[in-house]
Amino acid sequence: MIRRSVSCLLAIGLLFHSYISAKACGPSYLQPIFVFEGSPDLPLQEFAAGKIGIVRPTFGRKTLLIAYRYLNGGSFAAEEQTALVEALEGQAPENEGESALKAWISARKEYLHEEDPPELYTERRHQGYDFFPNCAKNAFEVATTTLKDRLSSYGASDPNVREWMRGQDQVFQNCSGATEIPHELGPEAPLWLRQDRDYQIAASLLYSLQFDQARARFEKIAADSESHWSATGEYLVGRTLVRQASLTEDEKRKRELYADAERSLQKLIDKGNAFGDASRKLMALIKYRMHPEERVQELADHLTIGGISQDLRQEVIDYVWLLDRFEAQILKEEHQQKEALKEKKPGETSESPLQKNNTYEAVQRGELISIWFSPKLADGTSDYQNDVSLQVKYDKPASEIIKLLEEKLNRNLTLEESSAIKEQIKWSLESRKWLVSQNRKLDGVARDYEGFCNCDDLKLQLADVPPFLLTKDLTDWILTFQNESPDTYTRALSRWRETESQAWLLAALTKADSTSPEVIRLMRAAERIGFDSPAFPTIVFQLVRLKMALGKTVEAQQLLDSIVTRQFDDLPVSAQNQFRAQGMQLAKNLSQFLKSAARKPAAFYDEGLYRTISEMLESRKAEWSEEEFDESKDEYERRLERQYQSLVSQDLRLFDDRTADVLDRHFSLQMLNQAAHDPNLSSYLRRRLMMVVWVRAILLKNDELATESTPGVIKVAPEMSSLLTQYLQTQGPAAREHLALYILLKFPGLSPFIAGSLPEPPTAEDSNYYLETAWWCKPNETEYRSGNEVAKIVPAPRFLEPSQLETARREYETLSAIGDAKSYLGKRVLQWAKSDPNDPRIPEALFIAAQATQSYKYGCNGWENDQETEQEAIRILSEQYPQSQWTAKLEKQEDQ
Amino acid sequence: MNLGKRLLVMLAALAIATFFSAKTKTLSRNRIDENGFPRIVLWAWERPEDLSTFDPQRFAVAFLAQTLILKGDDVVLTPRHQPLKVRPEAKLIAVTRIESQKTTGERPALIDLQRQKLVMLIMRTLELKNVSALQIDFDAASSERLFYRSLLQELRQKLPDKVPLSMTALASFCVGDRWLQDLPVDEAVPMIFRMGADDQAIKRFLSNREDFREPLCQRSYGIALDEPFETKFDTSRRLYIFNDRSWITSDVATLAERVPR
Repeated sequence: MIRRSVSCLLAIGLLFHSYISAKACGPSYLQPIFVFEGSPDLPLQEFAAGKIGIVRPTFGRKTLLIAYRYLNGGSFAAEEQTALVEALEGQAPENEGESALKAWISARKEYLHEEDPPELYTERRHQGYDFFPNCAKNAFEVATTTLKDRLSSYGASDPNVREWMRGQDQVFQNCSGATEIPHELGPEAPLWLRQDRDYQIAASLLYSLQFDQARARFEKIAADSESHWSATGEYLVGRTLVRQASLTEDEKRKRELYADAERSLQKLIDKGNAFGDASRKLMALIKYRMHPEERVQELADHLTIGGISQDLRQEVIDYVWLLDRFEAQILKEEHQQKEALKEKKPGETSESPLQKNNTYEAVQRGELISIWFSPKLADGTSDYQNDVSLQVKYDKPASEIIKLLEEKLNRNLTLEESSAIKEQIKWSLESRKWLVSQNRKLDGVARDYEGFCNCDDLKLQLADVPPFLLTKDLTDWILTFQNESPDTYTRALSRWRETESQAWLLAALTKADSTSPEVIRLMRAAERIGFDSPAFPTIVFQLVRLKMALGKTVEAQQLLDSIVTRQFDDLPVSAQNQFRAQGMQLAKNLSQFLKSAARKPAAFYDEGLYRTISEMLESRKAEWSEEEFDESKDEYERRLERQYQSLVSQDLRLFDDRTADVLDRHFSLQMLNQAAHDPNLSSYLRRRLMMVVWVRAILLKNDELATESTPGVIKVAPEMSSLLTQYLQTQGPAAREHLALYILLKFPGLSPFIAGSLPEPPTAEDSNYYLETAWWCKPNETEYRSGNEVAKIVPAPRFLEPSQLETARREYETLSAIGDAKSYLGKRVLQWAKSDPNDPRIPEALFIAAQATQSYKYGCNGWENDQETEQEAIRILSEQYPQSQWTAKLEKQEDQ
Repeated sequence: MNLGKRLLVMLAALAIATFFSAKTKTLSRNRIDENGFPRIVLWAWERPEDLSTFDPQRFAVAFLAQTLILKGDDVVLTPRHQPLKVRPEAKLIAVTRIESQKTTGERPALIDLQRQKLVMLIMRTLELKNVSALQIDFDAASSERLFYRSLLQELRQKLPDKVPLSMTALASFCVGDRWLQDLPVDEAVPMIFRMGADDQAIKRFLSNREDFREPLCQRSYGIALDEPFETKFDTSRRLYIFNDRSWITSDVATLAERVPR
């Protein structure tokens, strides 16, 4: 169960602690992704075509094996690239049959003119509760083709075609659970129909899991050279064996069946007929299951050399699954060894204190049985709070067990209770029989994938990897590159020295730090890599990192410039952003800093999918419904377009969270103002910075800068121009202060902090005064690292002077002390109302304050809210402005 | 005060009492208790699961039987693919997870035919061996709630009277949401784990000894084995436990530590 955050919320009327009423949805969050850490950028086609960007150890194994080929000078043909993308996308094969099934249903419906065709399911129950794909897509494809052919050859009114249809319906009933075998046809039936019927019977036997009979039938069909189905029958002999083997639990029998299948399929492969490819695919499956060590080596060769793979998609999947399986096996063994070797103090057993105390292990060993007793309540239900449990020797007589229980309960058991206990003893003894039996499995059932291990605390060590796996360079490289332990640098360095390959150079460079042995030699070799090499972006990235660590910032900057000027726009966006992050660290002045700080999002994460803004906007538009929204569809769509307008632009650049933290904490108001006027800033960021500067100036009571910056805000935020123009024209500190407050209330997107929700919240009016994510929250001073909450560390840019940093620090402290905006603004409104009750804007301000300070699910502190301010705002509004439209509006909200 | 006035006051008081007693829900029967389900239920999801060593007297199993995806005007069935081993006497709940397609152009139409197909497919899970209860797991968006309600109503009508019908619920639904009210289910299991943005708010709420406002949510809790949870459980309620990996026998010891008696 993967939990999704709920994007559609209901307003809570807290006044009466009543239930919430239905209202329109609240805003939902857009999360920009600047760097894909575990996978390539989207679209995957570009990575498959060789645009590998900066290769990271955090990439998955499928991604790395693609990168490996390119790093070593290889490539993938166009159709191979398509296969790679399918492998990366990871769609389960059982999902592929949908269109084939629909095509069959459609063809059948057209022929039979049936309004309600029978339901068809393609999966059949295995033994208990799991199902397996029984009828694959080619079954329906062949049936559809055959039907069309028979109709074309004999016509829709031919009764033999109708008979064929009857047989085929019976075949497919077996897909999901029946045992329906079409009847044999006599010699009076035409030859084509008899041959088709033989095939249908064999297929029905296969799908109803009568494998031996199915195989015999297919062998007979294969032997009939006159039959249209002869070659198919020959192939299906092998396929039946594979299916039978995969569903057989007995290991010895399973191996025998697979061996038979191998022989049968090899004959077909040697023949080179139409089923050669299909036979090779089945052989690959058998190798995966029965010869994993040989298969993983074979696949490593195929994937390294290229031009050999028959089914690249499946080979990529099988190779990675096999690596995962071996890893899981290694970790499981290590885990078991660790458990066995747990250090014991003298006199202690290896049992945990818990296990010693509750005799759990004794029950598991069958020495004791557990008896649980729940007394009944008056209504006949169990009183779990007063459960009693006993662990007793398994051979203790029932009468003694009952006596022990009665002592614990301090009363006699009733006849009914005694009877229930005796029944329980019986079940516990049955349970004990199972616990001590030979067939009991302890740690779960593994199936084909087996790439999991309940070993959370363990990581794969290269020393534990079976040596045979590391004889293949591809496998060696992937396992070494991904491994975080420090000794893998030595291995990577050694392999690079042996092979002089770019893949190993890249691996060694990625793992190196400034103190690593031979790092200078490594770096010199890396500097010789040409810009047209697929390794170049990664090499440059790592060289810049190392040069910065070695204090060679000038060289680092030169290297960075070399990639920026040459091929920057051709790089995946993730790579561009990683270089920009480096640029930000090297920046010598504000302009350079801003150039690197502004990032293009690689994608947006929205409702579990990675999307562009346009895709996301279309998705949002499709959410409209008459029941859900007060607005018409047109109004809703126009509102969305207004809201997302600034994000749709091609030159969209944003600050990531880290950069926003740097700007918020280390840039003074003056510096931010300077930044807002940088000529290279994108329109979105300029708007954001201008608004931040204005709000900071207001909150820090820097009237001069507030005035100075207002024209700039008018330019970038025309929707605020009317009120901001008034602000420029307003005289007197109190009047200006009140107007500034009013402007803040009307525009919930305003904040003194760079970080904010995406998209920017609409105006208070446009949001229908649902102000859940409005304005700002008190900044967080902690963050999570490796699962622990720690103090946030935000390094300052090196080009800022100590005096500038000190000013920024003081200003930030002041802003932080203001706390959450809603409460702050609400209290300011109350002061304003008291000092200036006749101001015509007061009722609206009070209404907004009341709306802002109500409890919201995703408020700054969850549902916590400033109830005092909320209630006071409501009281003043209701009592002092009873005739105001805002009071009426408030009452209407409460009624909902 | 004269008699007339006194009568008026009494009538007013009666009216208020009636109003509030109407507001105070009388809980419907709980078929899960009636069917003698143990207090602890282990969720067995789409993984190979061997629960044959877990005492069926203490633990019931709610296993993912199938996932139904609402796509356009269709329902796409994905049955369970991973094996599940349980003791023959274990009490079983078949869980159906419902998801709705989010891709533009394939969003669910939520038509009657879809609802009918859902009902049919969910009812089929009762045919699995030893299944004696059903549970629906559907994080329904607001626009889907009407559809979900009618699904549950139809399902309840078609189910044999004694068969329990349970549903999972986001914890936030249970705190301040009205839409669960009067749903024809025996329980709504508030999932107090993997709550994302709700996490701190809900945990604080429960730590302050506040209870879920929706009575259907007051019969059980849903927790995760790997998430610490500092609150006072009402030990009379059923406990559903999620594990993010396959259950192993030593998890019983962990349960004994974590689950309050």
